[in-house]
Amino acid sequence: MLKINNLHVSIDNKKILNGFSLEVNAGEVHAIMGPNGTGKSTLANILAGKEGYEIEEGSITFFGNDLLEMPPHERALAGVFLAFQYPIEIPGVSNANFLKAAVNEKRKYEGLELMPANDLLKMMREKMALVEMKSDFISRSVNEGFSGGEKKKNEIFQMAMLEPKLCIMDETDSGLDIDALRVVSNGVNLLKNENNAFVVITHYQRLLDYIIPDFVHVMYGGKIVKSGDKTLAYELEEKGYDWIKAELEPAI
Amino acid sequence: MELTAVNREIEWFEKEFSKLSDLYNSQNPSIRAIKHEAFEAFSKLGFPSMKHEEWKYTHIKKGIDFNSEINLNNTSQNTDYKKLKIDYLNKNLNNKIVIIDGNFIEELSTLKINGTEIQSTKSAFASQNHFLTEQFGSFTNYKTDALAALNLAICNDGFCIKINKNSIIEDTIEIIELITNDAPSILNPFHFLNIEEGAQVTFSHTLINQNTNKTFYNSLFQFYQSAHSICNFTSLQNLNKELYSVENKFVIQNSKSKFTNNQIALSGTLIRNNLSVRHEGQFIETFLNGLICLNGTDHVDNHTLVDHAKPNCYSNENYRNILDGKAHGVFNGKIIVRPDAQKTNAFQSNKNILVSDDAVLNVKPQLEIFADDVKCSHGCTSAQLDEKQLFYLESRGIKKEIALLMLIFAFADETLNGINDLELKEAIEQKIAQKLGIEI
Repeated sequence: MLKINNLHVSIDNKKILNGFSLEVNAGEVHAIMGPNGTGKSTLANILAGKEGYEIEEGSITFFGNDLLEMPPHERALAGVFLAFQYPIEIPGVSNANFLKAAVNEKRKYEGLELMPANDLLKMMREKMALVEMKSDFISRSVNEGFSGGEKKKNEIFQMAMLEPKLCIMDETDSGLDIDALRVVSNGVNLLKNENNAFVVITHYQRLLDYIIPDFVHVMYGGKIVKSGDKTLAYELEEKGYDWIKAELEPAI
Repeated sequence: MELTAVNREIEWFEKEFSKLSDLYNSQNPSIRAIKHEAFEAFSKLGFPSMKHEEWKYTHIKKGIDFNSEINLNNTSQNTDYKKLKIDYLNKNLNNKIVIIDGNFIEELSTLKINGTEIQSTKSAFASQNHFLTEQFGSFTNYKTDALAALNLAICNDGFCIKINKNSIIEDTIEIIELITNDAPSILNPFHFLNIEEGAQVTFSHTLINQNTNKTFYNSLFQFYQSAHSICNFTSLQNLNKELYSVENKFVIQNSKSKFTNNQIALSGTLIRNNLSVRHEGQFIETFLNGLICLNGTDHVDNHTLVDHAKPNCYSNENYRNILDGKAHGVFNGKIIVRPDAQKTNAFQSNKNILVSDDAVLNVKPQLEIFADDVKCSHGCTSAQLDEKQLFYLESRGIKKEIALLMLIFAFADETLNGINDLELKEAIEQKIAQKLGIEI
């Protein structure tokens, strides 16, 4: 599904990604962990198509197509979804109108008819229930005045509405209390199937108690330095990242 | 040079005005006395030129051809009113006041609305004892304001409405001003809204035109709000070419009254709105909202004045311009806090988006504060849209161009929160969406 090969990226002449490679297939859950400032969020933003990064080298293909050549909305239509670390507030745009536009753009792209308003409303109610959101959120402005937990739930709700193929979750667990974490993870687990894949970026192992990864990668210095299964996450939780840094030192 | 030109205009005006004398003979003597004063004032002031500080950016004389015969009397060539196509904002509403070419049209208006008295200005002028007689022109600044003087001198029709004491008018009253006149004209309708103690009312007001020759439309709305009354007034201006409009609103508020004006302009060759509010009592609330969304070479100039004359009052002003193409927006917001007006809270916000490089915006907030225990603030910004918001929408599959329009719509929509009739608000949202070319 997703192939990232030897990606080198800089921002304002500062190198952020330094030979990053990763392959993700349908049905897989990948966790990317690592200390602050190693380029995890940069990776997420680049996949979604945010401007301002200089791609120096390397490639990203999504179902064989060059992702880097696609504008952000086309990536979304093709099935890439980024659940933001800090979802932005958009005063004046209601959740309902926003999702109506997004869902119908997707249907147009897939050659389907626009969804009738009633069906859309019904779908919204169903999907909101997945993340235990109150139905009055539909008429509120996107993320405006939402608590940290509500914003993250809204991300998962949008994910449920748009049914993407590749879901990138950028520190979705940050700022969540234990109840919200459970709700958000439940939502994700209900959406997970053999046709989609998840890339879960996180600092902490606790999210991975709920969303069980098939692969855990440790990112350091702009690339993956260690990969393993879920036991690697426990090891990191116990020992921190220093032992990995130490392991790498002799090589440098 | 300038003086000669002004003299010529005044001469022209006096000549035209003298033709109207028959019309005035039937009017109440005290009305006639004010009209005479207003005429004298205008003869001194003349039409404001761009050298006048208050008219620096708006060249209203473009709207008048001084060489041709101009009709100063509100007459209409159309008499078969039922055949006219009128774009009502809410077709389901029963309460309508229809003004065509400056005249009150009885056939199309609702004359009986419970709790109100409605009449044409023409018949109010002829009456010996009318709620208008005492108030006519009393709080307009016609001695120094040329356009108010022009209106008061010439006006001979319009509507007068009284909302009776403690009456709550449930359904919005829709006022339509339609211009169909094809003869070059200067039309000066005069409207009086008297909201008695404890009364509550909502108005929607639409200015539209079908004329094909240059017409100068100089309307005057005089509001008198008694204590404890509530008035919510929404004006929508969506004009075709060839109409040059000056709308003068003068509002007097008494104790514990609440006045909201929502001024929306979506197109117009030249629109100037003068809105002046004066507080005559305490614990008054005033909300002035404005949305100007233009493209092409349209020009809209909003001048507002909130005159805090008494203590313990609150005013909140929120005007936004969205300008595309070569459109020109002007906002001049003046707040006066007089020495007596302690504990005043006065806020003003003016946010703008220039969509194109060629759009022009001139803004001037003016705060004149003579009391020391007050809270006043003003803020003025002109900005691009938020890149992060744009990216968020794009990342959900929405094309950049559509995402931009969604954000512009949202920016516009925030100024509509003062409209208390939700159906009216939706109708206006639809007009804005139509203007932007998006679906909502």
